[in-house]
Amino acid sequence: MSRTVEALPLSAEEIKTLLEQSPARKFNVSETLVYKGQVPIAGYVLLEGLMTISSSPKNSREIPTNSLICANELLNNIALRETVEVAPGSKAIILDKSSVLEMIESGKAFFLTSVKDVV
Amino acid sequence: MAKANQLPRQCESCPSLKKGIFCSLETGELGELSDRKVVNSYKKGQTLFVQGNPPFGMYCVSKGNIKITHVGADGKESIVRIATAGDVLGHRSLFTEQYYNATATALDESQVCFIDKKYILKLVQEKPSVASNLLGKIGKDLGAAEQRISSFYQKNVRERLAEFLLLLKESHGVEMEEGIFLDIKLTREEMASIIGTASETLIRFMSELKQEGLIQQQGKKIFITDEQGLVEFANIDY
Repeated sequence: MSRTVEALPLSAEEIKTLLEQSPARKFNVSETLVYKGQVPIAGYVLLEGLMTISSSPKNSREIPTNSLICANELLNNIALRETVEVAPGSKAIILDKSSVLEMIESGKAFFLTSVKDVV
Repeated sequence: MAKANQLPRQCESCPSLKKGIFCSLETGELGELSDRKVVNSYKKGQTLFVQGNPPFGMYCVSKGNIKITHVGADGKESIVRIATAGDVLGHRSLFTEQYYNATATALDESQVCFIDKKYILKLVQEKPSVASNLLGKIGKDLGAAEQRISSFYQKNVRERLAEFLLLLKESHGVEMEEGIFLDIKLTREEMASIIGTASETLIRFMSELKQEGLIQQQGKKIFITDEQGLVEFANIDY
């Protein structure tokens, strides 16, 4: 069993909080960040460029900028039902597990309020 | 309801524990590592990371084989090495703060653990054994790379092929009745890329090795039947 990717819109203040944890990184080449059926290795916030989520070649959607994906699945070891890809030239915040745990410890993990069905 | 990933997660029971950089950690520390890492399966052809993109952690191969490829300025891709169970990937880029200079792609169904940079750096600072083992791995990688460069300059294709088969014997050799079976699936193109030649040339020299009785092929399976003969053929100190 696995979960559909949900994008959590973030405010400017929330993005600033995340940037303090992890600076924005640029993807120079297109890459599959998460394959369908895998657990994400990080949470991602797209700041510029393009990230797409697809369950099949004909069924894909774009992730809006300034929204967070995959953080809850990373923390709870949940596989995704879709593939996440990033286009070249895109900039994103990469939120690894250690950063997420640090934010939980410091009470700054605002994005965890969206978890409804943690296993 | 979403369920957690079902892959085996405990480092203590990893088949590659003794070969990896975390082998000296105690049970409690391995438990913490198990909680911090992300375990995934990669199908053949799926990439772990891509040349030119930013690194943010290290990969530890638990099962399977991963090819590391580099694309040159001319757009030509070459295989620089093959990682197998116990190997770590992506570690050099972590410490050099550079983008990945190669792409890692699964050659077969592989199980790989990802450990983020922050945690790796913490472990390296707090656990000298991890730092020491990581240095050891980097040292071996450097030695292997130097050996490979030297082979390209000093050996002909025949010798490089024999040397490569002997290297595969070390990492993937299984003793069987027919000889030493090389338990890894590589296409002719991939083998040719590794030794720096064309596929046609590889095929010709493989036939030569077979005629000499040094190897045997059963379909796509390769067996080394005369290891000493292959050593002499490779012209190495073995």
